[in-house]
Amino acid sequence: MAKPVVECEHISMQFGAIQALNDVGITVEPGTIHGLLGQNGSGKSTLIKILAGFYTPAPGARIHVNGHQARIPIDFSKKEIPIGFVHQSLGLFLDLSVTENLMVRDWSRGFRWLRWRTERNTAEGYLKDYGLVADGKTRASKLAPHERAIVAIVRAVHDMGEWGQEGAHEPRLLVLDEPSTYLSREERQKLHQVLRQIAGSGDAVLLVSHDIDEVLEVTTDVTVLRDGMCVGTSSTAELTEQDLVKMILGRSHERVDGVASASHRNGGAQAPLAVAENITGRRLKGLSFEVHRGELLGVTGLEGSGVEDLPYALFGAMSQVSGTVTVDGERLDLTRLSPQAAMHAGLAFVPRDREEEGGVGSLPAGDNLLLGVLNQYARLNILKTRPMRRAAHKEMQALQVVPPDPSLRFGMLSGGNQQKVLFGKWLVTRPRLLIACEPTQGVDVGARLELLRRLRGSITSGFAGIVSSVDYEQLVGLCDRILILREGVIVASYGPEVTKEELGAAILARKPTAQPQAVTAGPESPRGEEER
Amino acid sequence: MTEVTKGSLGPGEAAQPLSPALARSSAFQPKPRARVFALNAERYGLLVIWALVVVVFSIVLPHTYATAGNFSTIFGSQAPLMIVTLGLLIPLTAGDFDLSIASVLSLSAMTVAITNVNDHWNIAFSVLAGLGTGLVVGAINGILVTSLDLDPFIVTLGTGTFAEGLVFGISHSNTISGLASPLVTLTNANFLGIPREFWYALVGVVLLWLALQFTTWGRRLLFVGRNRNVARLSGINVRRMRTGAFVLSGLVAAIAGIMYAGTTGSADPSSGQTFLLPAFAAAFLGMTTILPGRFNAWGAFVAVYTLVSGITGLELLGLSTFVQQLFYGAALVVAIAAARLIGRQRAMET
Repeated sequence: MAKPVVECEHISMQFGAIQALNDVGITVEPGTIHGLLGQNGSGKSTLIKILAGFYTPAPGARIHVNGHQARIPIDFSKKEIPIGFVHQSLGLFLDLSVTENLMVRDWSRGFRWLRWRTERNTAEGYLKDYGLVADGKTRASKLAPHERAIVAIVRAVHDMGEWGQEGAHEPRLLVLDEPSTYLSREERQKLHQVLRQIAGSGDAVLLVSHDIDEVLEVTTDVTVLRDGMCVGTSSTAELTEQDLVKMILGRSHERVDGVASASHRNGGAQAPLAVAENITGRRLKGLSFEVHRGELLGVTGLEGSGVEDLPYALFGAMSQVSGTVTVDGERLDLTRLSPQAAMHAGLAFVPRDREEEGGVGSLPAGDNLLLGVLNQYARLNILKTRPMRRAAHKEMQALQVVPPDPSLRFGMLSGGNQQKVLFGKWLVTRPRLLIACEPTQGVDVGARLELLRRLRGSITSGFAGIVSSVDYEQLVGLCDRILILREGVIVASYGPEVTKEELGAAILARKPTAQPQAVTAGPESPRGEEER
Repeated sequence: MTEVTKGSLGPGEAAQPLSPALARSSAFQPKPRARVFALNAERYGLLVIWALVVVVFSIVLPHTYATAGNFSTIFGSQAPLMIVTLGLLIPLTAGDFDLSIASVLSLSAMTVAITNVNDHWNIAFSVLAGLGTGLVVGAINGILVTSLDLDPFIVTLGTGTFAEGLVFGISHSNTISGLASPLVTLTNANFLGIPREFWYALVGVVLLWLALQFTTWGRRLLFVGRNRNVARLSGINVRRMRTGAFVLSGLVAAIAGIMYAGTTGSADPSSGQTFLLPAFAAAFLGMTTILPGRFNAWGAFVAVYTLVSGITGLELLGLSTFVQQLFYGAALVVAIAAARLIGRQRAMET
């Protein structure tokens, strides 16, 4: 009887050669919490961006909002579309007060005097409606993570408030794009309470997530996307965890062949090259593991599990970390380790963000490449520029950077070529342990394989590598061993024979389904099992 | 293997086999003539403007402007500005503003004058004391900025104002004249028809050019200035580099102050401040030439003398000294606008 809040049909979207969405449809009914699930690259965020009017889908797409056909691309400027968005980053002004954060859009137009007491009371009232008691004068940065998320959600709900056509109260849709990725289990519970309340009042929530637990716990309906297609929509109550895993992963996976061919393993006969002990800080809760000579170790897990922190912690690039790493007998204390000291100890680090952390786009590729070894090309600190140019050129040729021109600005290279230069930058320092964070992010498919092959090839017997990535598929067949992190601890370890399905299931599932092999010593997950 | 890399080619890149000669050329594909012209126009544009300024004023004012004496004045009198600009280039390259340079210049000049004239110190010790003031202010700037992670713009505005207050305090707002002759001779005596201080400044330009272009320090400084994160993750001690840059700029500004005192044989408490804006104007204008897009010593040299040549001509035409401010102010704005436009054009080339 009730019209769906949002009904999308025949949504397709093409980016170059990539079909990001292929005839996808989704219907969200009022009073429901609808989960949108899928792996990285399945098309979730493209769909959300179409709803937000950011992308224009291919012709033929239709979107109905409360029964009215919406113009495409969706135009929010007239405030007729009752859809609100909260993104993972929340968009709060952390150094402003809760009141200011909540009221900022009220003040975005026109001129009026502000009575701070009234404004604060209004803001506090908004929050109290959703069970959050907070002082309006508190700075947003002082709030707990879940409280920040709630503030962002309440703000989005209120910003939608006046929308809807002809003043009639129509159901609204709140879209949450992975707002709970970095929250603990208890904090999520509190957030879910808020979502239930929103749905309970007749509005609807679309919750984008890749966490099956969360979806099973809080949603009433689920839509799963895979490779840009809609796998299915179903009532959550009818699904089990296994059903969802199967829907998300599908069956049609092949191995990335040819990369893994030469797994070099010593089976622990020799002393390990590096031993990490009790690494703690940010999202990491006491990780311990070993890396052997000639080994390429993969680290994966969901976003928020600590995968994104571990490489930075190991290289001394993150503050407030404790633990030790012993490389070739040299013991490094992570509380005091600086990237400089890490480099001296033979560590190398290819960071996640090429243009912001890896290299300087406005400076020549050759200068970027040789930045770590300037001293080798200098006598009395005077640079020998000609040998430098020759060396950079040779190195770039060896790395098959196209074009291998050291004077070309780094920013002008394509993603894959930039990444090759950054690998080169660290390989020329002759490291003992190379740590790479999301090495293929933003690298197109063709270059990806070559990059990984090169990484694999660079691991020689005296040398080892660690690759961390949330994109676990690329680790299969590449790494000698793969560790899975969840909530800051290592929960499983797999050998090179692991399949993508096993790995995917182990990452997604609450309990690892496959038998974990010899998890290296580390405290077990403290999570209680009574939930859900 | 070229087959494998094809997927990684960007839209503007060609997948042809490479010859080393081609690969060495800076844009990989042969550059169209128009682009070569544009590149050179950018690189040498300011030099051409300088030449035009000199030629035009020489034609208009053949008896006053186009004289050896006038050119000697142009080159000699602005040597302190040239030097203080060189100092400024160092923190600018490291990505930091230093607004205290003019005050350091005044403080060092005044320290030399007071210790030498009032306290009868040997001029050598006075000079050392002057240099010391620059080191101290620079170190304070560096430590405040890096260890407390403060905004250098505000910090140096504060320390500069403080130093200026010191200058007025120690001099009781008086001009102090009668500096020992060795210093005056060392800076003012002509060498090849131009005051020696010009040659010192020229040596400074060459040294800074070499240091920024051809030393490990210069290369690191550049990366620190462009992206602190990249520099830090490449094992560069960003804090030390930035602190060092402030100390150096303080020291160089102090040298400029000593020369300024030597030029006039005296130190007055207020005129040092007039160096601040011209130095910034020259640094940013210099960024548009010789090595476009980078703060560079030769660019700053061309910029300083282009500005001074123009101002001298206007003054000789009878326009009063306020044209200086108009000229420098406009030059600064034009320079940053030009730098931005160059940057945008470059971004579009990709």
